[in-house]
This record gives sequence, structure tokens and C-alpha cells, in this order.
Amino acid sequence: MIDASPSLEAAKGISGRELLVYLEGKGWKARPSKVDGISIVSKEFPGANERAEFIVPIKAGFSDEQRRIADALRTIAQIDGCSEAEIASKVKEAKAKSVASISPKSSESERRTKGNFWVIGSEFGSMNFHKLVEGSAQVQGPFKTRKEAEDAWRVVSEENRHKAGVRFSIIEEPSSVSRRTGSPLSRG
Amino acid sequence: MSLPREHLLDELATAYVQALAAAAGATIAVNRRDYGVDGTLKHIVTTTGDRFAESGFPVDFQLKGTTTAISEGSEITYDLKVRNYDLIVERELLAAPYYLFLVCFPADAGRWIVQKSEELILYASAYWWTGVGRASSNLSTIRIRVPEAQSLSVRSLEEILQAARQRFVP
Repeated sequence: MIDASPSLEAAKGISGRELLVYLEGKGWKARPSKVDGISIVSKEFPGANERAEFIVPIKAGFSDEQRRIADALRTIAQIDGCSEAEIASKVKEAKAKSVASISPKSSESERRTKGNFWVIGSEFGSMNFHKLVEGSAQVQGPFKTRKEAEDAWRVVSEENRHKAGVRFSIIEEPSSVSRRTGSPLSRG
Repeated sequence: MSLPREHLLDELATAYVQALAAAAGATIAVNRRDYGVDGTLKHIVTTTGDRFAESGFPVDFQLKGTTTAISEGSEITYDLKVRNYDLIVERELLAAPYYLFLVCFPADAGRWIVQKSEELILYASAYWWTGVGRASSNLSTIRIRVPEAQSLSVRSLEEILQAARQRFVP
């Protein structure tokens, strides 16, 4: 039997989204699962009998989220031959570097902007992206920073990478609209 | 010096499920401090450098060793603590599957384990159960009825792991 305690401890403070960004930088491939908000992450290894894979919740709110992140940390640690705590540190380092790499222009833009960010997208019925497939529109957000929106955009784009007609964009709320109505995307 | 009866029951129930899981090509990750989930089953794959790693789609479980389950016709009845029951039935449908593994021993502790020169026998039968619904309004326990067909075996564990895969893989 495997002691899950170190992995559960290491999983504290790590979101599935952060883990996914780290894994994609290490050559792991994410694909959508049947369950909205959960990605299947896999990697082939030379000489292995089959690929390694596991699930990562990329939306918050699943009651077993930390347990699934702990599962993932154990698998990565077993493959890399190190501890779950070391993997967790690398995930946190990758997150910190990602935040620091936002350009001065972006930082200035974020300081100036009070509005939220949204990720919007849809499946398009034409390859010139002019006609939506009815009922396929998706909206994620609001996100307080462009970085959070970019992370969400990266995940949802990766999930739909195999669908040529699907495209997502990041939309920034104008701050004046934000103060008056709350959201340009809100209905009614 | 022998273990306390309840402790021995837990250890033997764990050994029973661990043996089945190993034969099914799976491993069990346990966390002694996590009182909601006793273990998580996952497959094992060989990766680079002959390293072994957990892989695939997780199955969480509670494990109960008992001498009080009753066989009634084609069902096993067992009084499960309400808290344990609620944890299972209230697990979101979209989260990883969550089961009760019930390992039933006879009342006589002297019969639980017998070692012979070429055999190690656990005199127990095991079953799996899961459910979906609302939390129980009972105060202490709730009686669950487990069909005898839901026997826990190498084959049923493989099927449970396969079902976990089908929950997620499009």
C-alpha cells in the first residue's frame, strides 16, 4: 500500500489549473474528459507498457479536488523519482515565474484597469469564424486579472484543441461599464 | 500478545482487499488521517527506467471489516454509520466514484485466519456497495442492503476500475 499522507499535504494550496499549466510545460498532454471541469492528462514514456494518465480538476468546487491533485502529485513524483513536496514546490515556482513574466505593459494595464476579464468562445459553423453554432457559446469569469483569464483561456483552448471550429478570446470589461452595470456580459 | 479484536478485524479486512487489488493490477493509497476515505484504488503502469507509477482513474472507498452483517435471502444487510453513508450518497456524480467495501467475518475470531503449510486462508466474504441520494435523517446508523451478486472479487474490482475510466474517458 502507498501512504497518501505526504501527497495530500503537498497538494494543499495548489489548484488543478496551476498543476495543469506546470504539466503542460513538462510535456504532458491534456484532453477533455466527459466531465465538464475535469481534464485527462497523459504522457507516453519510451519502453513503457502503457502511457501514464490521471485526471485533474480544472474548475474549483469538486469535493475531491485536493485528493485528485494529491493523486496526480504521487504519479508525477513516482515517475520523476522525487517527493510529492518537491513536485509541489516546482508547481508553485512555475506559478510565481508565470506571474513575474507578465510584461511591464500588462502590469501597467492591470493596475490601471478596474474592470474584470472574461473568457468567451464558441464553436463556429464556418472556418472564417463568422457564424456561431447555436447553443455552443461559453463564458468563463469574471477574472480579476488578465493572468487568471489567460490561464483559463489556455485550459479551455487546450481542451478544445482537437476541434478546428472552436475559438476562445479574452475580453476586458471597460472600467466605466464595470462600475455602472457590473458586467457588459450580464443579461437583462 | 494478540491485537485487540477490532484492530485485528480492520487489519484482516485491509489485507483481504489489498490482496484482491494486487491481483487486479491495482494499488491502494491510504491516508490514516482521512476519515472520509480509507483508500484510493488506482492502476499501476511501468514507466521509464522500470519505475512503477499510479495511473488511470481513481476509485475512492471506505473499508469496513465486520462480524455483524447478516445474510438474508439474496442480500447482505449491514448497519452503516450515518456519517459514512452520507459521505457516499452525497458524493457528486461528477467526482471520482466512491464505494463501501464490506468484509464480513464470522463472529468467532479464532476462525478469521488459518494458516496451513501451503495455504493462508481468510474466512471472509466481501461485497461492494455504493449509492446516490440524500443524506439520511437517522441519528446513528442506517441499514443498507447489498445484493449478494455484488461480491468483491478480482473481477469486480477490475470492473469497478473500468467503470471509473468510462466515467471520464469520452
